[in-house]
Amino acid sequence: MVGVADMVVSNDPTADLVTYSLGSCIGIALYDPVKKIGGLLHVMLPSSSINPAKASESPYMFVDTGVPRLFHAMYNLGAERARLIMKAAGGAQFLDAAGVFNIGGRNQKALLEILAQNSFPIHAQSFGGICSRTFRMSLDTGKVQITSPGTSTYSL
Amino acid sequence: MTAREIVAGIKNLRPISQSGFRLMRLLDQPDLNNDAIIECLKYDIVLTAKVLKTCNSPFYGFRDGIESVDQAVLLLGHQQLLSIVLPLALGDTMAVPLEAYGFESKDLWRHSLSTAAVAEIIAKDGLVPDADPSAAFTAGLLHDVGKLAFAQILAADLLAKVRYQIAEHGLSRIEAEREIIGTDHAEVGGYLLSEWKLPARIIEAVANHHKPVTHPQICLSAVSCIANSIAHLAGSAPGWEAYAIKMDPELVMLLGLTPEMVDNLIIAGRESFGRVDQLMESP
Repeated sequence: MVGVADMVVSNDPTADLVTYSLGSCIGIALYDPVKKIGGLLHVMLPSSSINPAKASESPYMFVDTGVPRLFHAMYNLGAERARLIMKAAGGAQFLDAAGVFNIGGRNQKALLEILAQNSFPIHAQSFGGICSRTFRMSLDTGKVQITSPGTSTYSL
Repeated sequence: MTAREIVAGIKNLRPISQSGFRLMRLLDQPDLNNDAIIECLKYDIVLTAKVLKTCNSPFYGFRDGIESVDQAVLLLGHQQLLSIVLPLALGDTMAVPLEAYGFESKDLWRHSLSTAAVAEIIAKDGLVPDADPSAAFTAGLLHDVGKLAFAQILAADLLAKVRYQIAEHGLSRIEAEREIIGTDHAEVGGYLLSEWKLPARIIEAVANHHKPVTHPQICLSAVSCIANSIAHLAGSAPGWEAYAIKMDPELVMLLGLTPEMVDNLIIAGRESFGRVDQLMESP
């Protein structure tokens, strides 16, 4: 289980990585299908620049400090960049999506920017909406299942 | 239906003790002091026992032990003591599942405590001018009490229609409730609190927590509005369509809120969840 502002990587193919209550937060998963290594990061806010002290204490809280650490942790377990598949979900938004309270949209934008800068594609994604999500990845298959309260489960 | 009809139909809310009501009414006093709180608590043995047990939990770190309410209020100050006592007085009433909202056992209670904690932070930070931290905390605790009333009074299919309007037509929860029911959970909550004879500023803050009053001056509802949103964004967003909320752009402008301020409030909100966990575990 991956908490808010937390990350877990594992090479145990029998395990599932799960994170709950993704509202405006984003769950970002990487998977190496050859070695069956997976990682899941649960970020809460777009940029560490608003609070550098918090970022050094809790780097997985922010997109810009969390995402590079997710890649490095995967490499440390033997994953290779060319094989990595990224799936991401979350970023729910209030109905007035343009306002300063649109954390979900800002999180999504920050993730897409950092990936674009590093020419890394997202394989599958589910962003936005007004529902919280539970994100579950099987390390055997790399399959991701998304569940929202009161709706059916779907795969990424 | 009107808010009055909804509230008149309530039969089965778990009761709040008389001392709980008295404590909330104390917030009306401009010079609230330690003695008034001690006076309220000393006739309620059950609440006093719960308060002492909570004050002696490791979270508060008093190694020598607190043996009386007098001692607790001296060590903690009346503001912090109230923020321990009021959750204990209201927990039995609010820690219930609301199936019609997709809230599991204590989801509503956790969200209420989180909103209260964030509201207190906002008031202490001075983000909203002249907001009293104890009143802000109390309004946060009670802001969704109207949902308790709805869940009791309204037929499941009516609440399902509200959900449908939100999901299919992009309405906020408040807009959908007004369209389907004729009133909304904020108005009903405010009406219920007026029946309970709570202070006017608490009623205002609950009744308007989705439509804060900013003229002629910014009222306590501004605090409960922002606190509710921050609690959702910091991770207490239970139930169906939790983000079916519209923020008032005028409030954002009046308070000069920037993305950086909002993000730091979310961090502060998240940090307060340790205290929320502690209050959830209280007797």
